[in-house]
Amino acid sequence: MVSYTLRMVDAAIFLSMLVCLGLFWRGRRLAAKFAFFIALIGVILLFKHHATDALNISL
Amino acid sequence: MSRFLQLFGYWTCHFNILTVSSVLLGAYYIQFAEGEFPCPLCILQRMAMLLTILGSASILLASRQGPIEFHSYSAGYGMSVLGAVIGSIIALRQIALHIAPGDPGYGSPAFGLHLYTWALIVFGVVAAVSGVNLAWTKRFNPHAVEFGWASKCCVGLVALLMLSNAIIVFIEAGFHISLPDNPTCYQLFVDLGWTTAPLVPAES
Repeated sequence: MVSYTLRMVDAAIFLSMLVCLGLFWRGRRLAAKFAFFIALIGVILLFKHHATDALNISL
Repeated sequence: MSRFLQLFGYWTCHFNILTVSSVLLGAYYIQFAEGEFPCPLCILQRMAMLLTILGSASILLASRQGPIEFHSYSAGYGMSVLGAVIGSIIALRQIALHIAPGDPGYGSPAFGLHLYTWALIVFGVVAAVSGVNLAWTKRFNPHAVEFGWASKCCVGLVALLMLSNAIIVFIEAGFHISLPDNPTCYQLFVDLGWTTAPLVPAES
């Protein structure tokens, strides 16, 4: 059983978290929350990819 | 008493950050000192842990702009709950992958439990602490506090962990889009010719 994940996307998600932290530092809370949700959705999509697509199963 | 509760709420943010960061630093120790490579689900759990402490960090950073407002405090712990929920699902998925009798699990255990089991416990504790803070936001909201050196150190630690994780996953993946489930080498170093890929894949 072999499954795959998109590691370049992984690095981008960590960087979007860093951007989120920087925006909170600057006091731009709305933009920071937007960056947070981009990271959160990225994690959910990666997990979905790992749990279903990579194992060639469907929900 | 009310001032004590407010300070308790503020220091709980520091406690959250330090607790989750110590777990991530423990994962670094296992990766670099014991030579184990993080699998895709391990990386996803690291992401979820960083999402949970982003909420606490946002509360600390709100104190830079003046008194912490009610909605900033509740939004921070709401973000922590979101990270804890998705992290728990990922950790449960990995536990379920290795739940069959006789399965050795992925990686070596730490203090008797595998890292993904520890991750589930951490996410549960974060969710519980965040729930208590959300339920009594009015009492725990610290209002006017100073963004002191302790808060700066905590936020700096969070930033350092995010940056280091981004670098680590990039080195592990190189310029490849996809990698096997059980990584056995740092692909970027292999591609650059600095090391060679192992012939025998690691056991899952």
